[in-house]
Amino acid sequence: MLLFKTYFKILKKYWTSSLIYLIIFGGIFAVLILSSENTEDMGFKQSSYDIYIENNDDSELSTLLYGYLSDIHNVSSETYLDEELEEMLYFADIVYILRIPEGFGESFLNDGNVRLHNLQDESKMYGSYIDSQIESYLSSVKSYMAAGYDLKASDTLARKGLDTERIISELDKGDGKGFIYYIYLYLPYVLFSMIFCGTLPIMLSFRKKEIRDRMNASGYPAVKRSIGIIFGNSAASFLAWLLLSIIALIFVSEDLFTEIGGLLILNSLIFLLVCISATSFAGSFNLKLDGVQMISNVVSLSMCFLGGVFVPMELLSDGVKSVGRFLPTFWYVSAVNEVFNGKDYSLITKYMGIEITFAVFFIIITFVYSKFSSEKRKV
Amino acid sequence: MAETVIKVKNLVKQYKELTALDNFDLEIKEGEVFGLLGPNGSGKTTTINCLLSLITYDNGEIQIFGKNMSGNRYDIKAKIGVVMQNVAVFQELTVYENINFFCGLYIKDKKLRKQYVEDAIKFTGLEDFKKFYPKKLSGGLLRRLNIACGIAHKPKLIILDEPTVAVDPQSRNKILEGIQELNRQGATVIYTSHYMEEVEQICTRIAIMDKGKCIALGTSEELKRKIKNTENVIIDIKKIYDEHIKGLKKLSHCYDIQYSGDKLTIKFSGGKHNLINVMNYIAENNISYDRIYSELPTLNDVFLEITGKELRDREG
Amino acid sequence: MIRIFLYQLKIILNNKTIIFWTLLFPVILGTLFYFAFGNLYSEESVLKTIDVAVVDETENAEPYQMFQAAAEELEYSDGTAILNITYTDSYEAEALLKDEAVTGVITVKNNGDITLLVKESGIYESVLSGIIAEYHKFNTMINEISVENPQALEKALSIFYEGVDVNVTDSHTEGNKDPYVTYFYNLIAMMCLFSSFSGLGIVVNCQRNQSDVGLRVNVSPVKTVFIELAGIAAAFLVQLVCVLLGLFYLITILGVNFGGEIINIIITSVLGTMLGVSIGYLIGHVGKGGLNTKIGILTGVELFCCFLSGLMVGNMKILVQKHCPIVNKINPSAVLEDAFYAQNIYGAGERFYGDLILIAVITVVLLIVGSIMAGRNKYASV
Repeated sequence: MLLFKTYFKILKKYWTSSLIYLIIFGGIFAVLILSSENTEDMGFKQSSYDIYIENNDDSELSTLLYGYLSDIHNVSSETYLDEELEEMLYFADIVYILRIPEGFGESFLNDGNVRLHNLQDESKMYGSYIDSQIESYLSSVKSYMAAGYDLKASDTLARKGLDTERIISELDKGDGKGFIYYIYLYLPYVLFSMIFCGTLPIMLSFRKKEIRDRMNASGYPAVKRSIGIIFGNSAASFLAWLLLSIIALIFVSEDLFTEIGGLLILNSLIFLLVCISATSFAGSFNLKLDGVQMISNVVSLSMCFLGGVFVPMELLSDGVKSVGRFLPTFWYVSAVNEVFNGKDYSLITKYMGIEITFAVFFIIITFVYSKFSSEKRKV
Repeated sequence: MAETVIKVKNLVKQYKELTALDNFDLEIKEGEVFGLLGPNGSGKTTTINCLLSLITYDNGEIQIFGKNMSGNRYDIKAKIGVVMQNVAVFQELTVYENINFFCGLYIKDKKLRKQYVEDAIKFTGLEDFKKFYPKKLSGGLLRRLNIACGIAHKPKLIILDEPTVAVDPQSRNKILEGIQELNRQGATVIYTSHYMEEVEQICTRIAIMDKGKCIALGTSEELKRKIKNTENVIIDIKKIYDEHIKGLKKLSHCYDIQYSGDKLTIKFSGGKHNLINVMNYIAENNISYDRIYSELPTLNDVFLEITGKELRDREG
Repeated sequence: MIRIFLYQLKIILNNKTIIFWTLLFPVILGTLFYFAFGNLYSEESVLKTIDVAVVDETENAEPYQMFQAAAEELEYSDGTAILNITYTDSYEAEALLKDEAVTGVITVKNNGDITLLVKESGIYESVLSGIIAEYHKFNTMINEISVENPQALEKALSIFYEGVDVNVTDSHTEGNKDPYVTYFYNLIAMMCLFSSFSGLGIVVNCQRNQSDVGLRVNVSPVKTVFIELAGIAAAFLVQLVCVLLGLFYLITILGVNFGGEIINIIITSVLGTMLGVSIGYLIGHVGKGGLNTKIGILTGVELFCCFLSGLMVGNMKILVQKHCPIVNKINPSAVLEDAFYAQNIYGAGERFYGDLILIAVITVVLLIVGSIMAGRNKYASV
């Protein structure tokens, strides 16, 4: 109890930096959640983008092409100068600029040389997506015309052939992931960072040589000391978890009180255990205070990138995944994904079990290392 | 007539409810080793910080070397050397590098600086530790390094703020001798401490502070003459009857007797043969005792008489 | 000044913790990013056979057989089959989909029309939908033309297979079009910003209310601001070497293509490092908080800046641009990332130089404000 209370007294001293971490990581968390729906899903659904078309050709084909693109994208009706357009492209206010030169329609139908010109950000995928749409449309129109249809009919048939809205569907669209998925997906990064940066300095205070020697010389048993510190750590970490859960509650209050919500909360509590034990392990080393932030960054970002938090797991190569398996975040994310993708309880239990194993592992090596280093000091 | 090096008038420093300095006056002449003595919290360090313009003060005037002191008087700062209460050295530099760095802030000439640094190392007895990093040094050696960094540039005025805290006796003596040597070489020294033995040993003039005020000022002898107490006779005695205590109190020039912890302290004001008188009384009354001795009053007694408190704080 | 600079250099270099992590940081994260994103851009990353279930809902065999033939022949450029097909009924197919045994269920309808059912959006689902869209286009054409004008079908299909090439992209960037390279830009930006810890350390060593050596420095006859600036110069040099070593590792050892010219990247890194150190310099002079609080502020704020410029979620900068564009102009991480990006995609032009000027201006402002605050600081207690 003594060390537990002392833990919080020291935490009070660090309250400003703890508060900063709460605010910053809470802010990151909130922004991550809010931005989560804007995933770059290219090509699956027919997505609409902001584009600009400059039609200098008054042929029927060009008009029809313009019409088609206007129907599937947001074509700006304003006129802009070249510099303005470039600026808009720079900042992705528009993602594609198409220039239809004079004489294009006639040239196209007669296999001429007049070509369309486009401007796009080649490092983004939007451009090629729209390129392929234009190519598909024009090749369809040309094919139908070769089969004897007139331009108008070709346009109609080409559109029919390109319309995939009705033929591609998602299973149980109602059970879409929504905010709650992303909240619990990003939670490990935020939670781990908060706990590491917030509680490690306090544990390092207890580890100062003079303090340690004084405590060793006292009659207070070492086991009791360690337990006191771990309890203090756990309580402070739990507060961090609670704060993040309150943020989650603000965004998804109804979804939290469902079966899915319950499983996600349980998973996050297990991950909290992992964070506490990992931080306790880090705290058993003589780290310098100014190194704590660096270590936290490196460890948290590594764990989250390799574990499938920031990059969807399916995009990770097998090599990366095989390394990721040695990290608790990997199994956390696997559990989250399983909760949404089938709820196979045996799998979910397995993943959570592996996370608990990590927590236990860290606790054990913490004790082993502490014993080893205290034996070393005695010599 | 020695010049005035430091002149402080009506210095006031307030911290919320606490008055750290209460119209504090000070005048220090050239060539003095001036002691600032007082218990913890009496305002010694605050005085030093104000003198050096490290902190603001609410009222008063500070002149050093005849000029008004402020934070950007670099001409005055160039002549001052400071040894802080806390060891103020770079952990990342060796002993030699630390002294060289800080000396270099005062002495631009490379050759002269090199000589000064060597002198400082020799002076503080750190020849064998030149290449050591501070974390490898003991407490006493660290304090010596702290001093070396403060005096390497041979300043005219040296301010030492409790330089012997937590220092082993050998280092302590070396430090005190060193300060006296610096004074002999021409430096004016301000020495703050709550160890009266040190202050008595080296200071030519002493100001005793309490609660931000100077409560007594003078040489050690002058201060002791100010108080009633001129001699204490102390008897180590396990048991003594009240009637004997009363009897001893009646001795000539005795004004107070205290008995605690098997020690009987008889305080005399004036008189020449007080010890003999006490011994005669004991012999006449067959009082058995372990030890008897006489002590001249200390600055602690001066402080005690003026304030009713001890110089060194007692717990509880 | 030079002497003080050299001593400050030694002090910084002897702070092994900061140096160690500043060097290790890009190595670990850079390697991580490299393996996580390295192959995402290239097509080879999707060279996986996709499991699908195919359901026959036709009344006559022809359209179904036609689809079957086409589907089984689909191959990647290296000859790997794109689809691994399980032929089954709709009930079982849906069960397989729910269990994720298949990525999608393709149902062939009476007239040859096909529908695709997937569980969620994802990269393989996108590949499947691309295949379905193409087939649907083909099937529509066949159904229409074979009824209206069957003799023209062959001609129409030949044009269909040939495709058209009439759209020219004028952008023509010579740079690296891999969108995942922005993660590396953000990594370098983060390294530059984290130079602030060195800047902060310099100030702490010179401020009388923040350290014991600061007291000693303050009582010396040398103006503290000069000692600080010498220290800032030393911090800048050390941090720059670390950043350049990090760049060297990423570009030469990992082979990351930053795009653009190496000189532009170096210039940006130099300015970025100076910016980072200046941030630490300013924070060191602001407020009464102790070292821990200031380290906390620096870490938190800089992490947030890096987050907003896309370190964790790649398109964050674009989102910020849409909702609050001014942030991208004041967020130092975003400005640095933009400079790297601009020199890659657009070369060393207006945008790139604009970013560099902005970085330089922010740096100068921070240094000036920091120096003014240093000069004005009067302490009621130390």
